[in-house]
Parts: sequence; C-alpha cells; structure tokens
Amino acid sequence: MTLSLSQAVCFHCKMPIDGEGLSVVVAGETRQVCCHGCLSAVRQIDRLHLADYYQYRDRFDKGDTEAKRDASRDASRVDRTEEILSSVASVRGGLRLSVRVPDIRCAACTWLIESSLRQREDVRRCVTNLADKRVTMEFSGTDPMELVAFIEGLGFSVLPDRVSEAQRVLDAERKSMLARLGVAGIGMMQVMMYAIATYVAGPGGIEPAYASLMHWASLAIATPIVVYSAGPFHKGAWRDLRHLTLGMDVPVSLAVLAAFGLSLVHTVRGSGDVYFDSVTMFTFLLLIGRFIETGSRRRFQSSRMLSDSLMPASALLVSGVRISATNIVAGDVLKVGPGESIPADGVITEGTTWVSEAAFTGESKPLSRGPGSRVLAGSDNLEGAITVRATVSYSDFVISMISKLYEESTSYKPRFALIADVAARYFVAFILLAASVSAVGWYMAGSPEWFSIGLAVLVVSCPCALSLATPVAYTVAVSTMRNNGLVIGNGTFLERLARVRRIIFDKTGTLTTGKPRIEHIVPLDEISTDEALDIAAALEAESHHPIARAFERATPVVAHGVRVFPGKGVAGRVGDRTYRLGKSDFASHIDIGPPRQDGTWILLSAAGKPLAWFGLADEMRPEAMDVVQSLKASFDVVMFTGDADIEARRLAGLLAIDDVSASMSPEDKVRGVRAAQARGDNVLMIGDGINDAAALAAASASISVSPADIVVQEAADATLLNADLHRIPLAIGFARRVRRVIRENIAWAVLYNIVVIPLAMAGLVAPWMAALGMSASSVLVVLNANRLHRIS
Amino acid sequence: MEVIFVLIPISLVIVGGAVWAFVWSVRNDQFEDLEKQAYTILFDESDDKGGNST
Repeated sequence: MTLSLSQAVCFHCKMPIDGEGLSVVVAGETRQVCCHGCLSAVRQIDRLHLADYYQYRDRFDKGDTEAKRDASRDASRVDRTEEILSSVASVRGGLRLSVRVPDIRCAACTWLIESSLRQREDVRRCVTNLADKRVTMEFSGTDPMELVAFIEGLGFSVLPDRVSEAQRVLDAERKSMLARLGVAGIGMMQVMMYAIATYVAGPGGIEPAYASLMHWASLAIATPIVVYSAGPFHKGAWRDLRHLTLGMDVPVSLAVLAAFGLSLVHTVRGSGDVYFDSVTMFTFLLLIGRFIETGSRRRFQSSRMLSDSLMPASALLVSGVRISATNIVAGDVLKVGPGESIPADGVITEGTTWVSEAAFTGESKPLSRGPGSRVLAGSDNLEGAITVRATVSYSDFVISMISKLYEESTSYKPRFALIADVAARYFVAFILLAASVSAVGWYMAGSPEWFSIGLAVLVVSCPCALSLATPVAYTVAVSTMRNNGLVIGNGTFLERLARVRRIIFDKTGTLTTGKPRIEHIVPLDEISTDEALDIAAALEAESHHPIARAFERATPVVAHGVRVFPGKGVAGRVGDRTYRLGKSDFASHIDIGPPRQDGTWILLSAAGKPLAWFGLADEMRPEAMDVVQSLKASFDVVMFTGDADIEARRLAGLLAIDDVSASMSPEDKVRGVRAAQARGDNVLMIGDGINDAAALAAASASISVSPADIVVQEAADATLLNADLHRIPLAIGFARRVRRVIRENIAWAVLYNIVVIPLAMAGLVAPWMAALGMSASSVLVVLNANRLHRIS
Repeated sequence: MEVIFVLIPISLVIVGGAVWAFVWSVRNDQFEDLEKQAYTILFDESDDKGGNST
C-alpha cells in the first residue's frame, strides 16, 4: 500500500503498524489495527456496543501506547491460573474474584471493563479500582478463568491479585478509620444540634427537664464516639504509657476522656456544664487528620506493591525446567515468550523484541531490544520470543532492590527528623504541664471556664506536625523519583543532592550512547561507499560485538562462512571473494595507518588488499547538549574520561565543557573527585561503567546511568534507569524542592505551636477551635508534602 | 413543647440509621476508589443490556 500506511498506528493499541496491518469496521468506520489480538479486541468491544471507549480513552489517557500482549501464549499461564483460582472467595450467593489489571491507565479503561462485565448475565457486581488497578467481580455459574479471558479479550492483561500482608493491614486500617470518621461526623452534627439549642437559649433559658433530656441524648451519641471513634487514640496513649514514654496520643486521649468523664458526671447529677459537643467535634477533626495520613501511606504502599506484582512467579529454563523466580541465579538461561514478563535482569542472547519498562521509568513507549541488550526483571516482553541470560541473582535484580529500598526509605529518618522525634516527646510533657497549670490557674482566678481552657491547651498543641514534617515528605519524594526513572539507593541522597555545586560527567556511555556510529568512510580502492557498507553490513550481520551495531542496515549482499576472530575482526565470503573487516593488522598484510588520529578506525579488505576505512565515533546522546547547557547555568560542569585526549576534546568542544580531563584511570577519577571535594565543593558524579564505580562511591552524591553491572549500581547512590539525562537537572531541582518542603513543614510546626499555645493558655481559644487548629496543622503538613507527588 | 420528648428519641433513631447506612457502605467497599468517581459523571449512561449506545 502507500508509504504513509507503514507509519500508521494501531487503532486499538496505538503501536506503530508494521507493514500492511489489518482493517476492521468499528461504529461504521474502517480502522487499521496491527495484529489479530487487537482485531479481536476491537471486534469484541464493538459487539458489546462499547466503541465509545476509544473516544473516552483519547480524552483521558495521557500516555501514548498501551502495552500490547498476547496473553494466550503466556507460558506462565499454568502458574497464574492456579494463583487466580486460589484467590476466588465465596460470598453470599456466588463467588468473588479480585484480579490486578496493570494496564488500567485512566478512567476510560475502568469504564470499559465495568460496562463490558456488567453486560454479562453471570456477573452480579463488578467494581474497578483506578488507584490500585484492581477489578473485583462477584459472579455465579461461571468459571473464573472465563472472566479472566473475557477481560483479556478486551486487550488488557490480568495478573493475580497478590496482596501483601502490609497492604492488607493498611487497607483494613483505612476502612476502619473511615467508619470511625463517619460515626464521629454524623454523631458530631447531631450533638451540635442539641448543643446549639442550649447556646441559643442562654444559661437558664431552657427548662431543666428539656436541658437534661438533651444532655442524655448527647450522652447517648457521644458514648460510641468516645469509645469507638476515638478508640485508636486511647489505644495509642495506653501503649505509650505502658512503655513509659509520652506520644502524641497521650494529650489527645486525656482530653477526650477528661471532657467526656466530667460531662458524664454533670449529666447524671443534672447540673454543671457538659462538653459533649467539644468532645465529638474534637474527635471528628482529629480523625480527619489521621485519615489523610493513612491515605498517604496507603498510596505509597500500593505503588510499591505494584512493582512486586510485576515479577512473574516462575521462569522457564532453556532446558524446559520451570523454576521459581526467587531461585534464579546469575548464569541461568531463560526462555521468555511474547506477552510474558521478563523474570530476570540479564542480557538477551537470542531473539529481538519490543520491551516495555514502564514500571521502572514511567516511559510507556516500547523499546527495541535485541541480542546483547540489557533487560530488567519485571518489564514486559511485548513481541518476540527471546532467550535471556541472567547476569545477577534474584536478590540483586533491580526490582528486588527497589522493594528493599522502599523498606529502607520508609524507616529512614533524616537527621532533623530524629531530633524532632525526641523533641516531640519533651514537647508532650511540656503540654501536659502547661494544660494543668492553665486549668489550675484559671480555677483559682475564679473563672468558670477553667476546664475548657485546660482542654484547649491540651488539644491545640500539635506535636504530630512536628514529627510528621520530614518522614512524610521523604516517603512521597522517594516514590515520585522512582516513578520518574531514578531509583534512590540511599536515604540521604536527596539531602546531599540538594547541596551539590559541581557535576562530573563520565564521557563514554554517559554523555554518549556508548554505541558507535559510522562517521567517515574512506574508500582506498575502486569501491563505492555503498558497496563497502553493504559488504561490511553482511559480514557483521551475525556478530554480537558492540561495533557490529554501527553497521546495522538492510543489505542486498549475503556473506557466507563468516568467522569471528575475537578482539580482531570478522572474515567471510561474499560472492567468490574473501573479505576481512577489523583492525588494520588483521585485515591487511601491509601495515597502513588510519587516515586520521582521532576516533576508532577499522579496515575492510579483500584477499589482503585494503578496500576502505570506516571511521567510527560514539554518538552523543541527543539530549546531552541541552542538559549540559542548562546545568552550566548554575553548576560547574566537568568531564572525566578514560579515552584519548583528542576524542575527549572534540566532544567537550561540542558540548562547550571547558574543564576536561582525558586518559584517566579509575584511580585518577577518584583523585579528581577528592581534589574537588578538598576545595570544598559538593560533587555529583554521573557515570555508567565499572571504571567509574570507585569515583561514584567517592563523590558526595552519585548517579549511575543505566549501568550494565551491579557493582556500578551499588557504588552509586541512585540509578537512572531510562538513561534520559534530562532527569538529572530535574532530580537536582526536585531534591532542592524536597529540602524546601521539609524546612517549610518544620518551620510551620514550630511557628504554629509558639503562637497558639500562649493564646490557648490565655483562654482565647475554645476547645473546638483548638481541635480544628491542630487537625488543620497536621493536614497542612501532609498536604504540603504531597505536593512532591509531581516532579515539576 | 412536650413534643420534644418524642422528637429527640426520633432524632436518635434517625442518627442511628444514618450511622448504620454509612458503616454498611464502608464495609461494602463503596469508598474503595475515590479517584475514579470524579470521572464517572463524564460517561454516558446506557442501562439497556445489549442496546445501542453511541
């Protein structure tokens, strides 16, 4: 067909269509799709009269490709089937199944899944959860796997819903918190209704019988609130007291119980003030603060769990034996079929495919991968069957590391957070003292308000904001970074990154792609450049050497009997002539020098006679120029390289980096870093190779750029997984923002308490205002930290 | 004003009902996903099973 068609994208999955594609009629219009899988998905969607999905999707979906897969060929299906079936639970009048659908990207997907499932007679109820990417169905009279196949028929992939224990606990906690919050909210409104009548009437304005009735009614409502809704506070306070410490729950619980107890006594006695309205409102407002906090933790947990669920449970060795993914060790050679998840970090040994690493980098565009390419466990193999050799063992997979880091970063506390924790304890003691002093003081001064003033002091102080200030910001920041392709390996990294003054780049593989490209062709004989390229391409077609990539092109020539001479070159027959391609002393009998000194030169020869020189150069990363320019505005940018001087200066000239050190050994690089540090500069080192590992470890902060080796990854504080240098200035800016947010939070917490406690002691703050102030203060701190969910 | 002796107990019953309804809905996962609901208003409703929905 026409040329433009070859660039067309699939109507369903939005992947580029190779070749002709297939056509399908949807809602009266002809559309192009790329494969039979998509074709049947479109047909099914159309048959169910749900073609609106495409229109909704275009409105809501911000990504550009949906991962395409053909789950019917999934070899790990047996495993998965078992796991899914074991998660089927029986509910009243049927069964209930919950599965994870990682492809859910926007509200349009949830709409499609829900609407399709609801059209089925056997599905009674179906709820999709956009945040957790989970579908829960209640059904009867159907094989659960049929429903799974049905969802897959819509073009989504289905994973068993592996819910970690931590997640289950958090989910349950959130649910019970919500129930407590609701009970407190509804009860609070009603108690307030009774209380307002008393306020409006004024003292003695209401007949004692009615007043007493309303007190009893308030008591009836306040009791479950104090016992049930405020339960977590009492529990926390009791735990603190038993361990002889003072936590945030102590003043809260004390205030609730004291106010409720006094009101109870006054109600029974039929005289004196009651504080049921304060108690209920206070509990309600505090619970709002707690609820938001739990929500933020839950979001973090679920993003972490999502990465866990990406890992396939088992892997297939080339020998045909299936092993558990946790037992994979370096050197295992594994088969990965199209549509499966890659079970190990390693290198492709056979086959080419498209891979989606969206889970690591947030980048949904599929990446082309062939022999020699590095792949990550947990990424999706979208198209071809491949063989992968694991380069590291299970516990060293990037994905396992990420899980580990999550654990660490949640428990990690920056220096000032530790201080704040200790401070908070003393602070609580101070508050208890201040509250009793105020209550006693005002009582002796003859004020009838003494009790509410004491209450207000207890309630208004907000040690929670003080100890929440940093941990919340950190947890949010770490997960945001991960979603943007930067995995942080060390908690203090963000703190140190924010202080960086000088940035050192490694050249090869960091500023350049590390993949050579043909820069010059110098024919030496009667041969055209095209001819020379064709022959070279044919010779290198089978080679896995990095240099071979430079020659990748469609060639009409076929080489026979190709032999690879490691470290030298390749030899083979084209037509009736024998060609050699490689180092000049390998290709030619006569020793001839390359036409120029800079760059890498390799020679093509026929029967020992030189034919053409190929000058290879390592290509600069397309974004390197932009990134270096923008960094130069505020940092000293330096380039370190082990390569020859001329080559280094050429690239440095292009990038306008003035400070270049060439021909450096790994020790030189470390020395260079130390020298800069000795001058008082905080140095950020960015590198990718084994030769940078020591320098990465020596630097004040370091980032490794898609390293091929675990040693490099461990030496660096953080790993950039998608090799997009743009993320570096972004990360530095982000680290500074994190620092600013933490400072803001601490400043707010300190300022709030300094202002508000004296006011409360002076009797200017009613207990309900105090509760509102305290909750607002914690919520503010959490919300401020939540701003870090976006990187820019 | 004696009616208040009837009204207040009634209000207690109503509050009890509201609390029960809320707790029931929490237990039945009505508040599971607070993100999606914001978009649902933008979707057209078509309840007829297998009917035409444009």
